[in-house]
Amino acid sequence: MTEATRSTPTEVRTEEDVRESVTAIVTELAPNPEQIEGAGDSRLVEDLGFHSLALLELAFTLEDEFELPPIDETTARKIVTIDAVVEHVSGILRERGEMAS
Amino acid sequence: MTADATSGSPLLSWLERPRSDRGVHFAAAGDDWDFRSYAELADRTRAILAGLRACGVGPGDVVSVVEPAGPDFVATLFAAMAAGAAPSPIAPPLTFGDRDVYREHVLGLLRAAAPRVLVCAPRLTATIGPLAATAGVPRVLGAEELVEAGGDARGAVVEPGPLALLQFTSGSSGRARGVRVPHAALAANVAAIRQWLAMTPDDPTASWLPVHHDMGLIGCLVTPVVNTSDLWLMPSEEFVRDPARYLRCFGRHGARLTSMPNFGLEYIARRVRPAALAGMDFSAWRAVIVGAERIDVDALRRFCDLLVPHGFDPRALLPAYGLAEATLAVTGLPLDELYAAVDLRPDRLRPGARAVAGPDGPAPADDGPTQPVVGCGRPLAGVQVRILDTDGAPVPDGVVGEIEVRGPSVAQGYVNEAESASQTALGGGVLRTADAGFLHEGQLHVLGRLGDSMKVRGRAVFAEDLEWAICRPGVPAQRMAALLGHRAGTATVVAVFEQARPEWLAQASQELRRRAEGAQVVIVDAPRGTIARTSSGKPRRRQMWQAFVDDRLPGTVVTPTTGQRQQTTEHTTAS
Repeated sequence: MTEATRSTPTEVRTEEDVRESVTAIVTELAPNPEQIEGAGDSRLVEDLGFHSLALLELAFTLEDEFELPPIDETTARKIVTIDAVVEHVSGILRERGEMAS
Repeated sequence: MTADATSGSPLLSWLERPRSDRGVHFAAAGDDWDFRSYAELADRTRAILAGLRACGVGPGDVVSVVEPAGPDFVATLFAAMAAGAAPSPIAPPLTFGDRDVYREHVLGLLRAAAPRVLVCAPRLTATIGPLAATAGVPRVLGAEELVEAGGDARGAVVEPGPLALLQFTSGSSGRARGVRVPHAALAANVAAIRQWLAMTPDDPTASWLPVHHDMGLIGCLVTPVVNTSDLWLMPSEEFVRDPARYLRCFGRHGARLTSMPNFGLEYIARRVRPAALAGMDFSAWRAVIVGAERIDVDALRRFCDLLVPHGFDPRALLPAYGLAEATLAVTGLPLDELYAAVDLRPDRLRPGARAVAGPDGPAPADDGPTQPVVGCGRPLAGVQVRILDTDGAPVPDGVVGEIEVRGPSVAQGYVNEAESASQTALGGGVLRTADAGFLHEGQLHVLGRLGDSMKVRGRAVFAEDLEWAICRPGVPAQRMAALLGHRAGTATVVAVFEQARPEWLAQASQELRRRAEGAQVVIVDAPRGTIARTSSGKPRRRQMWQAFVDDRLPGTVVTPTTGQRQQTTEHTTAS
């Protein structure tokens, strides 16, 4: 975790920015947020207690926040940890040229 | 309703002279709605009815229906009833649900239901077809194929069959409980709901509840259709995506009636920004039936905070109690009465305790923290509710006991009685619910299950399902039992092990977090002989649950996250 948050233009984010926003969103929506303990390998379902409705809400919230296309089911099944969420979001932003290298 | 009832059933009379100016608005893409009038839906129903007949479906048969909440779900449901058969709805897979759990679930439902025909949406055939084959279902057809099988004819309604519905309560892992709902029971419950809400054809309903379970199916689909009032129907996923769209049904499109579990109110209060309600008027909104899980008075308050500035009347909130074994509704707050909660000490909320002062008993000592318990209203027309002690004798008002229900809506029994591990007992028009509660000033106050299941977001989770999942990796079944209920108002799962190995506890902790979403999990490592069993080897869950809430259950509590151990006497502080 970075201590100093760099100010970046809103359209270009760093991986750390993405991680920070994703972790904040996941923490807000997690049924068991106390299980996060700052670890990116926290699993959404097993550790954080995300059930199907909460997963849906998480998907919709991430779509809104990062203007993502709707996530398909096959991809969704691979996204099991916070790290995987960060990776998924970063990958799309990188493709769109919205990530600082 | 038309007076002409050649079918002999008030549930089917809407098919006789259906209205073309009223019908169901199905949520479509974007903000669009796909309107199907009752005339169109009746025509589709008759076409599917002819197909069911051509497939040999008749009185006494079961027709399983795996369809999303669209026109063909409505048409197939009523076509099966019109053929004298019992429709049995099965929910399609959830978007992010576990596929293996879903398969086990459907297989269990189909084996229990033994349908003559399964009607399935074409996009689900690949998933459902193999399960139907394994379960020995003779035919799997789409609605369109049924219409073809019937030669595009329009079938005539026959006399109602013995059952109007084979209704499954939630649950997974093949231990499904199918409730046999007689035609007369469904008709009686629909009539009681219409009377309770003073429903006229000019009272549109809106709903986001799944149509595959009692509350969404009977309360928010069958009742409005039979009432021939407009219905705005959206999938739950769409509600999660955009709860303001649901509110627009009331604030813009004129809906006045709805039902939802407590978590729906919470979700709306949390997700909808006041700005999204600009220009909406909720003053015609008459009823929000709140049921299917514990009601949080704070959720009611926050829902009102959001909507009252736009004309919402808090008296429209109608806490209610119901269950599939009573068809649906048992008690509900009358219209025009404001919901009320009594503040009670959590340690008084257990069977045998006096929760509130009554004529025959003193009030509990007035000290310590309290928690509000919301009243779930009074029995609906024709329904009788009593509270019983462990010997089956009625207890005075204010004392906690088991809720018993009698009346014309009580279902006939379970389809797979012998296999059911439910503590709920059904027969001879009497329903022992295995739910704890008490009566106070004429209102029923519900405290949750007595050990065998609990509700999470409106769906039941069964103890035997959790035991099956926990024992699957190799835990001997006689060394483990799951207890479920509400302890001091919190949904709680207790996994009791006899001389557990460390790996059992770790696996159990993980399984429980997945399957008992959001509940307080307590894992107990106890000496051999702790798990009380019946002569046939089933755990005596109610007895152990009572011991647990009384802090008498032996053993040590293993905190799932840290593996630390505490004496069970610290139960109340460990939570």
